[in-house]
Amino acid sequence: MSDPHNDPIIQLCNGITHAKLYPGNHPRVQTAARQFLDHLKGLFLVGEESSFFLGVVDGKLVHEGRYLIGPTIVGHRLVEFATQLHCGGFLFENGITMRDVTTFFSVAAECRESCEDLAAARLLLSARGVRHIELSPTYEDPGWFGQFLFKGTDAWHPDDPCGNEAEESVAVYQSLFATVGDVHSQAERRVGLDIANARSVSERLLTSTENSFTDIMQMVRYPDYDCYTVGHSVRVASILTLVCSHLGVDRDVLVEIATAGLLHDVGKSRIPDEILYKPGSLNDEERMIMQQHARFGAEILLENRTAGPRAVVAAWAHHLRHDGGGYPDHVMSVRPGWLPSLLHVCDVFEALTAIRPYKPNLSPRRAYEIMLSDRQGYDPGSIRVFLSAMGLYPPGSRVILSSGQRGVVVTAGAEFDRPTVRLTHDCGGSILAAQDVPHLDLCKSSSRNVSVVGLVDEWDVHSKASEGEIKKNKKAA
Amino acid sequence: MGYPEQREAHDTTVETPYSGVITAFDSLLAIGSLYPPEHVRCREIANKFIGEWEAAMPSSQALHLRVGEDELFLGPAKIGLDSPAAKRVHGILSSVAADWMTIAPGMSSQDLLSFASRLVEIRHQVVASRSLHQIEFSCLPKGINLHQREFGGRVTASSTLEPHVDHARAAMQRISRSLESENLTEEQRSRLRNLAEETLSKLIERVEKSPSNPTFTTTGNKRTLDEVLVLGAQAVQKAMGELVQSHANDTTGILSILEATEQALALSDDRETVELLTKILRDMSDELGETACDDSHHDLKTNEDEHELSVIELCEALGAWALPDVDFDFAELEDRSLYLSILLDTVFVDSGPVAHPKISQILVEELATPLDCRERELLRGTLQHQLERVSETIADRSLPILLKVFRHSESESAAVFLRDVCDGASERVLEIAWPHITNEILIGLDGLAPGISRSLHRLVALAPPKSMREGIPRLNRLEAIASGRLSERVFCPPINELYSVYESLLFSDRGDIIGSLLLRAFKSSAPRIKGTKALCCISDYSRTHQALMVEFLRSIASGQASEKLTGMLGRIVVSTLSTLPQKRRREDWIPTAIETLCDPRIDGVRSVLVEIMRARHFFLFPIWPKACRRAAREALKALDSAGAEDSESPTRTGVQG
Repeated sequence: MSDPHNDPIIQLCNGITHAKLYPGNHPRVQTAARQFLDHLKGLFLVGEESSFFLGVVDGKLVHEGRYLIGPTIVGHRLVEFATQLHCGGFLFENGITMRDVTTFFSVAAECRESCEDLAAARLLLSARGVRHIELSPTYEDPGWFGQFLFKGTDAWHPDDPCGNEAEESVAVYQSLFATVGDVHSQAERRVGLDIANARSVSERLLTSTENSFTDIMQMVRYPDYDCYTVGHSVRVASILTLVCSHLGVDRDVLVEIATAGLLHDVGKSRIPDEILYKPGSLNDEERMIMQQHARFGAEILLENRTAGPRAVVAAWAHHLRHDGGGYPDHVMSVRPGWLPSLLHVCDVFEALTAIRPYKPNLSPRRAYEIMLSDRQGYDPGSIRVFLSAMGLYPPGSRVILSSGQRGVVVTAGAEFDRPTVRLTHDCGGSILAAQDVPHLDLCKSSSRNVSVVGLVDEWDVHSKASEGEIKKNKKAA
Repeated sequence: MGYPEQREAHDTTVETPYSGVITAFDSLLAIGSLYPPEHVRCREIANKFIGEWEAAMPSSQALHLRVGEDELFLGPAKIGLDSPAAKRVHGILSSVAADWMTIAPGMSSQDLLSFASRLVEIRHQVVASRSLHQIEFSCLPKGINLHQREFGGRVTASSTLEPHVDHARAAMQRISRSLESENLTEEQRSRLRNLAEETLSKLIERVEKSPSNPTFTTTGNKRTLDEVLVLGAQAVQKAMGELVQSHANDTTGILSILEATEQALALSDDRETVELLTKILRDMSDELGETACDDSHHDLKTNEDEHELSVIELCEALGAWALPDVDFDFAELEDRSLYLSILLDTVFVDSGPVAHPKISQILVEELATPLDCRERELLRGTLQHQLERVSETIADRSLPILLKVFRHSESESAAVFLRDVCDGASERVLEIAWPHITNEILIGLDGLAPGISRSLHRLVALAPPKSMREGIPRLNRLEAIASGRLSERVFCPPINELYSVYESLLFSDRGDIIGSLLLRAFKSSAPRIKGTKALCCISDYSRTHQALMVEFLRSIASGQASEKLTGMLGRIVVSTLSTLPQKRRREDWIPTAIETLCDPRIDGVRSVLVEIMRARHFFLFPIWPKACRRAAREALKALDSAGAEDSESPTRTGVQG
């Protein structure tokens, strides 16, 4: 995911969210607008162009001939707004003012129904006084701004490994993001939570992963820098669902589990932003406040009676350690059940492997090492099922094999370090056509001579750790 | 690892003869970010680079440096990224999308410096903007070619310096000036300058590498790379200035500078940026400390090696964890005991003056199903834990919800549950629970075995008087007192264990009712101490009798009437007898009451006794019954003898009952 585009898109989405809660002159809306303008100014300074065009094609954000998967995931509000306006993107022109941006936020926040057509949408923006934001015709229209501004490149990169086949996964992943974001927002505003919607997207997640978790798990690897509380919940829910699905849990229970995963950190909506997004380590007082989120989460979910006991228990107990430690403070005789124990493992694994403002991401291997060094903290049964479902190379990981081939991990194997891989590149680095894509089970005797030598780092994720890993494994191989 | 002079010394592990060239080029880039190209330090380092180059290859040959995926190629030689210098050069060239570069022979140091400076500036621009646009080099010195990969729209690099480069250079300039102005030897000056260069270079490197670069989200605000670096550079400059002035000695190292920089930062107002920089400085200190350790223990594994297990080692370690087979019952709901415990925990969350009505309702519904042993035990433990930590207000708001459910439960008793909670609990729990147990007792412990009732009575009576006094205002708000729902059985007959509790209850909002109940109970039950019958002279209990009742209860509890009680009773009896209507004079309590009048200090006692004794008949009817007159005579005798004893023994002050 390209950072310079991620940030302004997140600011745009944040601005729209804030504008749903506050008037345009509220400091939160103003701050989002200012930050967006700062980012834009930076882009204008660096670029030759005097404008920044963000295309929206088939529900995805595109820029400079690239399909922005990460921003698409986090930028669902923007995509939704573009759909309502019947436009194929937004052109932010040099000279754009605070007023333009805050009004844009307000219009997006207030927009409930689709405009009749693009002309009506343009009229709407113009009537509200938005001057330096132009709406592009849709991609199918020859007048789509991207045709001119993206210098003839296609809407997305031709060899994008996550191309159209991942479309459904992106949509599902987006809806997970949207739902968790909405639930957190509702909790912050202390209004009723839309638990039914959370269950519905959980159902959708299960439907989309009926055959394989690969696509969703590839989404899990996308970092988000600003809204990582929401992203964290989505990623943890996806991992938890994968693990439970691997165990053969019934679908109706899986729905509850996925919902519990999505809602497990809802209590963070009551933690002040200063603490939640603090880049450095927390002091004792701040840590105590932060630790309240587990209890707050249970409280919020109990207030919304439809959440169900599983979600309540998961929210309250997901920071309890196997050795009796952890929080919230509790009597020693309290023992978390299987779901909180498993959720605890997923939560820690995600936190270690995800990027945060205060820390880089770690490779899964390093995450396991860290968890190994704190054995008392985890329920051994939960670790076992987690390892068997995720393996050393979790599903969705892009790996390099000792044969020189590359591929995507489809499932973990019977052996920890020998997953089943869907090959994407041959030994010479050429992309394999979809119909030729074979699955390679590295546990099978016919594949014993091939092993995984490392993770591929296509989105600047796992960078440092995976470099070392590849080198070391190459040596070992 | 050092930077840049130390770097030259430490990075000698690269085996090829070309490694010196890479190291010198790395130093050239580092120095280029701290000084303007015309600075003498730049010239020194450029000459050193030329020297290394000439030593490594024939002087007529151009220097061709190619950037591979995981390596550099200097001419035909492949150079791995094992050395920090090679890694940094690779990083800088990769960040500007350079594929390869050639430097023609015979380049002047001025041209080299200008190129290095330009490369560093553009690299900073790329890092600061994190742009996907490719920044194109322009106006490179003649003889230098740099080929960039194609990956996106190209833009020409800004000709102006990035502000943070400016600030670093300005800081270095000031540091150099302060070094010049002090009376230092050339060696000291050189060492301190090297340390300053190393600190500043590393600081820039660290800040640029920070994961949230280019903008740092702090407490809701954004700090730009430039803003962070300005503060950092100023702090380094200040720290250096102080070190120079305090005559930095030979042991002054980079760690001292980092420490001094941290202290200099502490004076800044921008707390968030200071925190960020402090963390970076501390990480640097830690790393330098580790490096020092590694230097002195060459045979030790590096820190990284210790952390990174091979796949085989990791598999073995996980195998050694002895992970059991799982036996999860997925279809079952989560352990109900945990859910109940969470419900209880949440009811006790401090969320304002009113307990969560919805959560309370869920708890009530859940508790409608009888508890099994584990659930009861966990609930008991949780409640004990909560009472240990919550305030009285929250306890008084939340506990009744639970107890109310139990009060209506067939399988559970609120009072017994509370007793179990208090069993073996701390004083704090007992203090918090006291009003609630008392409330349960006052409401009535119907259906409980006598043994259990007694244990509850003992539990409330054991509380220190102070706790009871402080518990009364809280008890006033609970059901028994608030709604006047008092079980008569608690008072009649009076319960021995509860005398101290009765006493405190007289001060509750329902003190009058409780006093009346007690009075009635004592009137109807046999007195255990002399004078009890005298209470019968009080027809109706009122606030005015509160002190008497307190004293009375204390006397009963101690089994001995006190002087104070005797005196109080005497005054009441005298006053009552003086005004007792004729028709009531035959009541059976009167003779016993008269017998208690043996304290000469009671006003009017003698005259009353004499009047009773002397009064005979009014017509045929006796004014005082014979028993009364006899009792008065006896009392008078006792009074006289007490008076005589008093006159003999001035210390004797009263009459024992």
